[in-house]
Amino acid sequence: MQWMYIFIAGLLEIIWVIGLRYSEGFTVLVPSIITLITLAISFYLFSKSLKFLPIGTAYAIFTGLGAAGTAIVGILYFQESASPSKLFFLSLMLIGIIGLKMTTSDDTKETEVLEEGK
Amino acid sequence: MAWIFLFIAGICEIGAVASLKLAEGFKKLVPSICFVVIGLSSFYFLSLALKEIPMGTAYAVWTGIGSAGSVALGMIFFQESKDRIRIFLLSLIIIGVIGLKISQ
Repeated sequence: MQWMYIFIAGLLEIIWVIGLRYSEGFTVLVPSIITLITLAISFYLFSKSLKFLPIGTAYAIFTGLGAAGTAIVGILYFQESASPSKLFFLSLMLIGIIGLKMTTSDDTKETEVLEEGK
Repeated sequence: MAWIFLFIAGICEIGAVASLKLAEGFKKLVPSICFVVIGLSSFYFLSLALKEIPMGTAYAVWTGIGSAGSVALGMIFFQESKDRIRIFLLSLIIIGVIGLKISQ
């Protein structure tokens, strides 16, 4: 479950980073509201994940997903270039994130996890 | 001066992550307030740095300090794993983020 928190937090980071771009320094109303709401939920979920995941791992995955997602959205929707170097760094990140997911042991000693698992 | 601001922003980022950890999902008041104050300071100093340093470079250095710092902090203060494979995988992500931001 803690991995779900960090993945959703990372995905929401993509939305608020793009929202921030459209809000033009919080002068346009709708993107500003979307940015603030997704930003708040994103950090809330990130904080929840920190209860179970090591901070080094959680922070790296959080920023990694945000950076990778923003780059992919930029390539797909904002006509940014898909240069070989970008794809190389994206793959590095993907290997890192999947590898950490596979090798990090879940700390199920926390009672909340046990309760949620029932 | 811009580089000093950027460095301060990166250090604040580490402080913000540590406060967030101590806030336990915003259940503890003082660390939660610390998170908001230090987090906003981090963005503020980043914005000052951005007046002179290009976005991609600044963001790369900022998250680089933040993520490497969080890893170190976790190992020193929160008894997190010093496993070589873990450090290798974390480095891949950090290099990936920095590389991606610089190539943008």
